[in-house]
Amino acid sequence: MINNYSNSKTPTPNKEWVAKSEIVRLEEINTQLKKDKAFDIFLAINAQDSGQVVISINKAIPANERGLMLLELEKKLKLSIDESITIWCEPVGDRSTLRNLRGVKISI
Amino acid sequence: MTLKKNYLDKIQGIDTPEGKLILDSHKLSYHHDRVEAWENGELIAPVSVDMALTRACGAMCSFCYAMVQEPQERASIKTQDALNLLDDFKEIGVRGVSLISDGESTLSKAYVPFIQHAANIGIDVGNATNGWEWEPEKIEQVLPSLSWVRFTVAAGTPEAYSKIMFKGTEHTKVFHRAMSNIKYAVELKKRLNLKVTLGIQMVLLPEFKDEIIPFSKLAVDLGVDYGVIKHCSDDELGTLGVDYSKYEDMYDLLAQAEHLSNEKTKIIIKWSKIEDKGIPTYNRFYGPQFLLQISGSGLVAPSGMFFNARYSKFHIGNFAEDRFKDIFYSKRYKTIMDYLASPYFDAQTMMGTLPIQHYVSEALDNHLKGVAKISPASSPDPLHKNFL
Repeated sequence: MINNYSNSKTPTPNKEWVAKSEIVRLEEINTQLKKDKAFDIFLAINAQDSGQVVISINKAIPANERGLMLLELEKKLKLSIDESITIWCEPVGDRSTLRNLRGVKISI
Repeated sequence: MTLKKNYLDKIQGIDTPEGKLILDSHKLSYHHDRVEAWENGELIAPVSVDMALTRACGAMCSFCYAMVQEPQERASIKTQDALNLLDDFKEIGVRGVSLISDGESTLSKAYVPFIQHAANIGIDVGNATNGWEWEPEKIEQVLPSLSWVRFTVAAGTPEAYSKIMFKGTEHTKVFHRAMSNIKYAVELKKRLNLKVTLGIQMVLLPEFKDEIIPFSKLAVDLGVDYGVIKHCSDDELGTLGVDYSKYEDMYDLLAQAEHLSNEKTKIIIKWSKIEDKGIPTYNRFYGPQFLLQISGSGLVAPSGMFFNARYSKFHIGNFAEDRFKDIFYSKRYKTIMDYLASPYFDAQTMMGTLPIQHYVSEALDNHLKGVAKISPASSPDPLHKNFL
C-alpha cells in the first residue's frame, strides 16, 4: 500500500537553526559539503530562516545524475544539521531573446 | 457569489453536441485501474503526458510560464527521438499525449510525424498552439489525427492580442494570421466531419479584464467548440507578478461571458482554479505520477513547475539522451516521485501556483484523506478521456 502522508507536517526548522546568522549557517553547510568528495562541486550561497538553502554548482551534471545526487546531498544535510533543510539550485533565466524583452527577472 | 457549490456539475462536465467536455476538473474515475494500482504502491505509467518538441516560440506572451522554466541545457530533439518516445509510451501504457508544455511544437520538424505516429499506434494526441505557423498544408496533415486543438488567444481584439502576445498593438498581423488558420481548421473539421475538438483559450490576468467579453464573442464568431478562460500560473516567488486577490473583481464579468455560450460554442470558465487564488488544498504532490510533463528541452521532470535549473533535484533524465522507458523504470524516477509524496515536499510553499496536475493532485489528496473517494466511472466516456 501507498504511504499516506497527506496529513503529515513538513519539518520546520529547530530553534538553533533560526537563531544562527546566515553566515554561520552557510559555513556549517559548506563545511559538510567539503567533507565529502562527491559534494565538493557544490557551494551553499543562501540559507534562509525557513530552512530553504540555495546552492551553486561549479560543473555541469548530466540530467540523469543530478536529481539523485542532489536528493542525497539534501538527505545528508537534513541528518547532520537540520531536518527542515531543503535545497534548491541557482535558477537559470529564460534564454529566449524575444521573451526577454518582457524584462522578467528570476531571483534566487 | 458562491461558486464552489457547482463543483459536482464541473466534475460531470459540460454537454456539447459531441459529448461531455471536462475542462475544469479531472477524469481519474475513467482510469480507476491506475488509481487502484497507485494506491497499492505499484509503479504506474502516467495516463497522460504533457510535453513540447522544442522550447522555441515565436510569441512573447506576457503571461508565459516558459519564462521561468529554463533548465541547464536544451537538447535538440530529433524526429527519431520523438518517435522512440512514443513507442516507449505505448510499451509502458501512456494513453494520451498533449503537445503543450514550454514550447511551440508546431515549429519542430518532428511535429507532423509525431502526431501521425501517435495516432497510428493508438495514443491519443492533442495540441495547444498559437496557430501562427500552422498553415493549411500542416493543418491538413495533422487535424485528422488529433483529438483536440486549443489555440492560445490572449484577447478578443487584434490590438490587445498583439500587445499581450507579441511586440505591440501595431503588430496585428499575428492576430489575423492566427484567425485565418483557426477558421481554416473549423472549416476543415466541418468538411471532413472530423472528431477533433477545437477551442480557444485566454489566460486571464486582472489587467486583461476588458478582453473577457470580446474574447468570448470571438470564440462564438469563429465557431470553435469552446472558448475557455483560466487563471495565470506564477512561480512560488511571484516572478510573473500575478495578483490573485484581484480575480474576484472579475467574477461578474466571467459569469456574463458564460452566458454567451450557444449550442455550438461553449464559453467555459475554470472557476475552481480561479477561486483557489493560487493556494492548493494539498501539501503532497501525487499528480505527476498520473500526468507527467516533459520539457521541449528533452528534460523529463515530474512537472513543468520543476523544469528550471532551480529544481534540479527533481530532474530525472533527458529523453534525447536516454530512452524514456529506461528513465521510467529507473530508481531515480521512483525516488523523485516518492519524495513529492513525502512530508519533505510541501506543494503550498515549494512550487508555483496551480500546475497542470492541479485537479488530479487535489482529487488524489482528497481520496487519501477520505474527503472524496475516487470511484470507477459509471457514466459514458467524456471527450478526451485520456487527457486527465
